[in-house]
Amino acid sequence: MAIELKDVTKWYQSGDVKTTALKHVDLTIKDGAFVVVLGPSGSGKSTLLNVMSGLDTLSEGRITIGDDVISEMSSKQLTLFRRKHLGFVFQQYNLLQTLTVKENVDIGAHIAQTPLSSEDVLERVQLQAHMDKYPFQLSGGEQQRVSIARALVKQPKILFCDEPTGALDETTAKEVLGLLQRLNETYGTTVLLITHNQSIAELADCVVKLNSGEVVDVVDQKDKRRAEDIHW
Amino acid sequence: MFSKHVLRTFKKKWSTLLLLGVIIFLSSFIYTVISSAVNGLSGPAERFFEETRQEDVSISVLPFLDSEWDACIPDDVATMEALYLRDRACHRRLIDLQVSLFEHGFDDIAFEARLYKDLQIRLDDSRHSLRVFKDTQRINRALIVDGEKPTADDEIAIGALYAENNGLTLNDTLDVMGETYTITGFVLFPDYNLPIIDHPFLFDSRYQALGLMDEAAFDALPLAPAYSIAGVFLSDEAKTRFVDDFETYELFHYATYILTENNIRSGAIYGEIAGSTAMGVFLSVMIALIGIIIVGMVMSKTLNKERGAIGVLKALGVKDAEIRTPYLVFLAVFTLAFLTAGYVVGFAFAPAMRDLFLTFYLLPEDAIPFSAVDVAVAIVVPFVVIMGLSWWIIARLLAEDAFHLLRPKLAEVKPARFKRMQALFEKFGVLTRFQLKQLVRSPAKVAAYVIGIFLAIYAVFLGFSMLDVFERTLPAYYDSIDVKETGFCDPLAPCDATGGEGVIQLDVFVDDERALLIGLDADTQRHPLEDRRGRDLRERLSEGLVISKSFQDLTNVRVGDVLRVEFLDTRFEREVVAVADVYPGAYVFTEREALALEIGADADYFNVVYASEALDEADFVKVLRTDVILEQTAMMNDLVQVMMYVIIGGAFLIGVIVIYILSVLSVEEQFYNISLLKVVGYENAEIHTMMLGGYLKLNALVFLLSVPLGFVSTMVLKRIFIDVYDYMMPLRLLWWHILLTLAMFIATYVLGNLRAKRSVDTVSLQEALKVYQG
Repeated sequence: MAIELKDVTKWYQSGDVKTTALKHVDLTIKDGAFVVVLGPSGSGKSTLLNVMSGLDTLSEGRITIGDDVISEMSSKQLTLFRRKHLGFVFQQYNLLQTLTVKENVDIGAHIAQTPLSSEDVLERVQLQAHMDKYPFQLSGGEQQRVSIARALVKQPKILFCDEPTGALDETTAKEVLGLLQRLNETYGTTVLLITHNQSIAELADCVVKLNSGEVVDVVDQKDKRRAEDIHW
Repeated sequence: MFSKHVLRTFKKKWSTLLLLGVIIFLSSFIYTVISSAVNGLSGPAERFFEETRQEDVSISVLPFLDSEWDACIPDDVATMEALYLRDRACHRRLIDLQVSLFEHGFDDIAFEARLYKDLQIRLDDSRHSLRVFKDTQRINRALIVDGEKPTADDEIAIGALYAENNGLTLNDTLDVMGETYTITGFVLFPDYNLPIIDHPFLFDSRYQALGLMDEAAFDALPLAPAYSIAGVFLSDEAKTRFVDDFETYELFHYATYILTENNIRSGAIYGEIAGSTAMGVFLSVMIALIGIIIVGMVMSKTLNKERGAIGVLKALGVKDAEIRTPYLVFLAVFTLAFLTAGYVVGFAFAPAMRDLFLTFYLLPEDAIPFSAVDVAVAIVVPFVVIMGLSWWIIARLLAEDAFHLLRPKLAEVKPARFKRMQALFEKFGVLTRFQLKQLVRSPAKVAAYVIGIFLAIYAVFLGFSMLDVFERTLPAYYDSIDVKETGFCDPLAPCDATGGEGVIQLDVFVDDERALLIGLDADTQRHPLEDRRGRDLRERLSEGLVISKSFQDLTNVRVGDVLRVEFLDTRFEREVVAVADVYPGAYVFTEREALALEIGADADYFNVVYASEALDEADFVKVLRTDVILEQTAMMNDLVQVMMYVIIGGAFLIGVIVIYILSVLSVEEQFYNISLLKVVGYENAEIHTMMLGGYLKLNALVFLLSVPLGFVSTMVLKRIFIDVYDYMMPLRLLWWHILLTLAMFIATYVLGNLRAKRSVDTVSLQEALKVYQG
């Protein structure tokens, strides 16, 4: 699914103070692309992810995903849209601590129209041996793979990843990035990954550079690298 | 500075804290109001019983005579009543003889005859029952609470509550059997602290008066006295020996006894005091337990949210005591304020609660004493427990170093607990598993929830089972028959049944159980008899005995059993042929003519007249008006009804508060998970189910378990009344009560969950992107 942002602006009002987080952003993300949004802290990366995924509303502008104008959807419509088309991976994994690895994936499968088998997905992320363990019994990398499996099981058209390797060491981070890369290639899932780590941008088909809420550059990369080949 | 931060933290939780305060207040209030009321009742009652020497046992001797007993008994006189009218000296001599026989048989028991006369008086155009006692010297002495003892033959002392209810004051006059008596004092009797005269179900002091006259005035009343023999045990073993030996005693066949502790007119107060104290302690402990668990949870959740701030303070070198103190001071002030308020309000309401008891019980009234034990139980103990628990929770947190406190802490999970229940979890889908695991993870919360909900449901069941309890006794009975007045014939004069229907009413023993045997004609129009299915039982009177449902409940007798009926020297046996669906007490019915012949009377004999119109009082010894009886029961019913509505309302309130606080806490601790689920695409309704559905299942389980328990406890309560007091209290839990409780329960659940659901709805989607601390 392609994503199109037209003149997107987002500001926050706190008393008399108005803070603009995104300024007139125009951006098109192709269907099946692996996109990295790069920028320093406070550049508006997370705000961009929030509005693109329907987690937050716009102040101005229009966002279209596929044929749907999500910026005009109600909260309920957005919920159903996320349920049907979108997947999320976060820096802090956000697993349900009382559920086992498999049950965490089942939580994703439960609301999908055509879910994959949880066991198959866990096998794909190489966690089949840990299915009955609880999140706290896993390493950080393993927990992040569970959260990817939870997103993947729904067969999302777009996967939004907010600093997915922010809490991982380099080796583990590369494993997780490699996994995201393979998913993008195997299933054609559009991946939009937010990071401040420039090295990760080398994986992308397209790099969007953000600064002070404005898109300062969009770079299409023909010679992207494999996750195992990058260093930071 | 940190104190302000702590205050602001708790300020954000004001609604939870306020409701928690209500729970703490209730635990202290309920204990104080009940315990203080009981203190205000039990102390004066004990002194009263001791001063007046309340009987320990009351012996009833059958009033028929055997001429061999004493030479003074004329051959043609068969009853004590007839003897009194013929030869009062002989009557007295016989009673003295019986007392001395008992004294001879039981040398460690003091005995004294208790003589009284039952009559009716008219007051403000109403007929009231009056039981006048002859003053006693040793046992059951009268206590004059105001005024003087009557000393002249035109003086009387009456019960203070009766006087108050009927606007009578000292020096007012009372017309008794055509004579005018001046009220010289207000009196209490230890053997009649419930004014039961007309019927065991009626203890309303508006229409039933107890009175005291001096000996001459008492003897001058133109009526034969009834009597019992009062006994006081002089040693610890006396009671056991009496109970063991009574059946071997030579007067056994003519006498029955009842111990004061089992005597509703004099001993129910003991059960009331013990039962109320136990109930007060039980309710208070249960509610306090809920409060303590919730305080622990609120403290734990609040402190865990403050881990970061506390970690920073520790890192800056702030001492543990400086961090701990603001939390503990806030909690101490909060807890102490609500506990003290509960105590103060409870103590203020205690006189009203005591007076509620005194609406029925005829006991001395005294100021409620201050009790250090009550202060300890209502305030000190829960305060110490709450502060101790809070201290422990804070100490545990402060034991962690600054480095660990500054790192987010994941919710603790104990997989061993889950593993034990894995087989159960596997039977359900992932959402139900999530719900069940939330419950298994928080046993303390579940305990508080179950206790709260169970208390609420059980109290509602109890309330419903007691609704209309008095309506089911005499009013329902009188509704089923067409008797507006009951005239009792003078045994020594011809009786005219004009305007009514002649029946036989006899106080008999049926299989050693006291009962009222009623002889009816098969074509009686005044007294229809129907079984539970509405079938007419009048035709069956000629086949044997028709027993009332209350007699069946009292005795466990079944249709087909053959019962032995004893009346004076007459004994005969009859089969039980049917059960009439009425609860007037121990009533047994048979055919009038057969009964008349059985007791040696003419076939057309009757001693009572049932009338659907007013009877001429001059023709009868006593006339009972049905509307007066119904008015008395209605008053008692109304009072019980109000109490039950209070219980049901209180239970409803506790249920709402418990569900409210615990569901809000559940949502708060799942803040990040809720946000995540929303992000993933779960709808609010689905998240409500996931977060709160476990409690709904728990509610359903508690409710289902409470239903059989409600039925069983209703039966047990009935049994206790029967076994202890020989009193059939027709408690009844019906299926519509269950359905209504269920409806109330659903309303409780919906109301209690409103805030939690709103919290779920307002959780922001961006919470999931923040640092996870769930």
